[in-house]
Amino acid sequence: MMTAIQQFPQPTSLDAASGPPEDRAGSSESEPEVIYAIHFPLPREILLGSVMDRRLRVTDAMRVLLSTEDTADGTKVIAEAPEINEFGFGENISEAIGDLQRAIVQLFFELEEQKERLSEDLRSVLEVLRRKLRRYDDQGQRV
Amino acid sequence: MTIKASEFDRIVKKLNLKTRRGRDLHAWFEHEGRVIVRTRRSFCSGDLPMQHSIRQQLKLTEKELRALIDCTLDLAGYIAILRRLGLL
Repeated sequence: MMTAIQQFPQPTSLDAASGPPEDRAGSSESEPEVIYAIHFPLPREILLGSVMDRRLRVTDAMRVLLSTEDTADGTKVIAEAPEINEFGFGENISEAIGDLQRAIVQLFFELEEQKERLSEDLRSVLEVLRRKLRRYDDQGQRV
Repeated sequence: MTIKASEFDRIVKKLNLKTRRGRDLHAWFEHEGRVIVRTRRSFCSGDLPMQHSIRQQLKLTEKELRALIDCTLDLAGYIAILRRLGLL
């Protein structure tokens, strides 16, 4: 099990006389506001237990690897599901996981739609998805 | 490593990939009526991260992907690669 470590970096703007808000009862209102940022390091791996789609429920959590990648538009967070060779990315971990969830849903229905003519490789991806996801109809009945 | 959206689109055109526009651009390679590989890209116009994942989805090495982008690898060459990998 991975442990997230909280890091409390030095405030970005803090003069010697000021401190956290509760210590500054007498300080003037013109002093710059101190922002305490809490940075949680990106976990390297998580288990994905939902794809946020009412038609599909995850019955066996998917392993997701998290990393960052520098692009011309800035650093992106990457979420990869190696078991199905799918990925998502975004500005932060939530966006990356959301992107991956949507990609998984799309992949599942796309492969189901074309199941009769899939290569062995893609058929094995569909098999993994079928093992890990349970399908429901609009009335909430299992398909 | 990143891949530019325009490079991805060049691959789509060169390999004659079938596409579907949704939230992302989904692309797949068909051969003799079978769907062999698939990949996707977001609609952002700049650099796409996850070049290695796109490459893996297309079953290419880094060198082969570069050759595909640089136009030294063509459709026939790609088919030969897939055949060598036992995917066709």
